[in-house]
Parts: sequence; structure tokens; C-alpha cells
Amino acid sequence: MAMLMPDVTRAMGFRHFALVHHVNLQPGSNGIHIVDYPEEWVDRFQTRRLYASDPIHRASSRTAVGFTWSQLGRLIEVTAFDKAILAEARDAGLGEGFTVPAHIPGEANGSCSFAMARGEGLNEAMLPAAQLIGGFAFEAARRLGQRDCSNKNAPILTERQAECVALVGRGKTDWEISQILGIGHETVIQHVKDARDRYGVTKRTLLAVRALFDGQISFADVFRR
Amino acid sequence: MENKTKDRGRLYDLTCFAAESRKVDTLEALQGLIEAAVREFGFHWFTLLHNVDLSRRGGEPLFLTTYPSAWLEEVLERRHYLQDPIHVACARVSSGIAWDQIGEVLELTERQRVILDRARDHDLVSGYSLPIRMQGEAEAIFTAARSQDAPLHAEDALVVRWLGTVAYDRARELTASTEQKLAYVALSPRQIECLALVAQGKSDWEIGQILSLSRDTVHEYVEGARRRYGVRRRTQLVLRAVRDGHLNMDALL
Repeated sequence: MAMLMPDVTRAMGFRHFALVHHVNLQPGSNGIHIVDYPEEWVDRFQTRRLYASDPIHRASSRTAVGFTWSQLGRLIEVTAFDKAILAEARDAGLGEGFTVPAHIPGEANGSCSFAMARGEGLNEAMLPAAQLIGGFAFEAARRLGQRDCSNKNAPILTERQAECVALVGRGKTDWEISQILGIGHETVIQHVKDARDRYGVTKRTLLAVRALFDGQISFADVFRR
Repeated sequence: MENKTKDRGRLYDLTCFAAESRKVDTLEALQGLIEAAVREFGFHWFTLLHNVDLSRRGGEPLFLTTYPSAWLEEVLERRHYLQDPIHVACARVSSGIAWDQIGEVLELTERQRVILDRARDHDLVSGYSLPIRMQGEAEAIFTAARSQDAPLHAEDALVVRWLGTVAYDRARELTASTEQKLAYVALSPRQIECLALVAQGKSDWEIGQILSLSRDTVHEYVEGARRRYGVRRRTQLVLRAVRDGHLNMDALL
């Protein structure tokens, strides 16, 4: 994979690529990390732990389709801190780029980015190809890493449990949930406890985050008025 | 050589589709645009919908289709959607699947065989479907279908994947419901640091110990963030911060 990526990147007219899971890469973690960016930038990225706050990664969690870096403002609020990061990347030699997001429920977000060198323009006609190849590349890397593709091991919540967890996400207490759903207080306590057990988490907030992550509940469930 | 020229033409069309989709501002106009595009690429019909249990999910589910109305009526009347083999198959693949390969990811039940046969009777003979997923959002499915059993080439699958993702992205913007439109709220780096620990279920005192801050200072950071969001409970605060991209869900777990 690492041998193939540079070829296909150049064939599309790009200079650099990064095929990554948006996670901290500790030794032993099996996240994808195949990167051909200017070395200086890779080092800074790691030492400053930008994987979580990087504006490109954040934007990529907000869209299903690839985006050019100059359109960032369409997807996220670009803060002063973000501008500083982007300026640093430019200083390190990265030009305009295109990022293809990869979302798989129950897995860390990832993305495949292709970038030009500083000062070079982007060939817009190549973007559909970049989108498709980026998507394929991520899937292939994921398969090679032998991650469970179908996510079969994720716990499944019952309809009632999911309903309760969505209300937990809306900040409701067990008693309030019992009133909203018209079921007993003890029953709600049991549903929430069972849901926590299935995920192996002890805290309510983390339970809601986990269920969102796995796609068992959605932001629409949580923020519905 | 001829192939190469043809591919260039396709690339150009695909870019056009993306550009045009940005210009339409209603779902009806988007539907027309997708219909024209799928026809241009040798398909007859498409469907773009949220793969959700309509009874529970919040928000407006998406449902765009150009399928023959007689088929849609049958689907609703006989409740085919309950076991729709395409939807079940999509839930099991990461990228997409041609209809004739469904048997490879799914042991078809008798009922599901009947559904596929009935679809064929309605002229929906072959097709390609793909799941489109976003963290924290309902899964969507895009399908392009044909009336003849023409073989589906690798390029066709790629084209459908591109059309589906671009179309969904635009549909998602057009239907952005209240929960998606919730205004972005800025937070300070210190507030974000504290919130990441709140998300792990830590108390103000514990957070204070971890960050070498006093309990009161932590309390003020977290409560300040809560006030900015105007929410009542810390769980809501954490989820809004995730929604706004302050906290990375991947890093929390």
C-alpha cells in the first residue's frame, strides 16, 4: 500500500498524500498511518498532537464528500488557532490540498488527503478521481490492517435502551426519562445500566458518546427540540 | 486511446455534476439533477434515502426517488422495506455493492428473494447501492438501477459512488434541520481541556488534580462553557462540544 500510494498520487498530479486514522498513534495501536508529507510537518504534527484539533480533520468529520482545503470555511468555523496551523503547514511546504473523509460507524474517523507543493494550483478536473481513489485507498488500508470490516462486534442496544441513551444524551435524569417514556423509574435505571454494561463504560456521558460513535443514536436524536 | 478520451469526458461530467449540485437550492431541483446524471451514465432510476426506522429517529428523514410509482406502491403496501435485502446488504459492506453480489454478503431469506424478483418484474433489473455514513448521523443509501441486465463495469460502480456521495452531501445541506443548524460556539483551549475530562466522567476536583488547577477554577471553566452553550446539563454540553468539533470523538474513547 505504501508503495502504491506515491504512484497513484503522482499520476493524479499531486505531490503529497496522507492516509490516516484521526487518532493518537501510540506504539502498538493499529490505526492507519501512511503519510508522504514534508518531514518537518509530520514531526510537528506528532509532537503537538494535532490529530484531534487539526482543522482538516475536524472539517472531514462534517462532510461525506471530499473538500479542497481552501473551502474549509464552508465546513467549520476557522479559528485563529486553525489559521496558525494552516500557515505552519504552508511554511513546511504544503500547498493546496483535497481531503476525502472516511466514516465507519464504531471506528475512528479517518481520511485520505492529497496535496500540492506550496505555490502550485489544484487541477479541479482530478477531484472526482481523487475522491474515488482516496475512498478506495482507505478501505484497502483498513482491510490490510485486518480490522473487522462489518463492525459485527459492536454491541447492539435494544430499541428501548437506545431510546433511554438518547435521552441521557439530552441531559435527562433516569426519573425524567421514566416520565417522558411513561415507564417505571426502576425500569429506566435497569435499561441505562444494561446499556452501560454492553459498552463496558461506567459513566453516563461516555455512554452517550459511545452510542453516537457506533451510530446507535444520532445527533438528531440528541438535539431534537 | 479511445477509452482514455472517454474517461476524460466522464471526469469532466462528474466535475460538472458536483458544480451543478452546489447551485440547486431545493430538493426537487436536486432530484432532477441526479436523475439527469444517472441517465447520462446509463442508469434509469435512483433512490437516495435515510436507512432509518421512521418511528424512532428524530429529524426529517431524506427520501428522494425516481423509481416507478407502481413499485413504490407495492413496497409500501406489502411493507417490503422491513426486510429490504439491499438495505440489509448495505449495512454489511463498507463501500457499496452490485445487486447481483448480494448473495455474497447475505443469506437471502425466502421473503428477500421474492422482493428481488418482484423488483425485477417492475423492471428494476440490475443496480448498484452504497451506504453513506457520517458519525452521529443516520446512515443513508444511494442506489442507481437499470432496466436491463447489462453487466456493471468497475467504472459504473465508481460513477455511482461519486454521484451518490456528492448528491447526499448536497441533500444533507439542503435539509439541515434545527439540530444541524445549532450555532457554533467558540470555547477557549482551557475550557476544551476541561471538557475532554468531563466527557470521561471526571469530577471538577479530579480534573483540578490532573491539570494542576484549583477545583473552583475548573468549575468556572466548565460552567462558563455550559453558559456559552446555554444548555442545562453537562452531558448536553459534552455532546455539543463534540458536534462543534472541539472534542474529537475518536480521542475520547
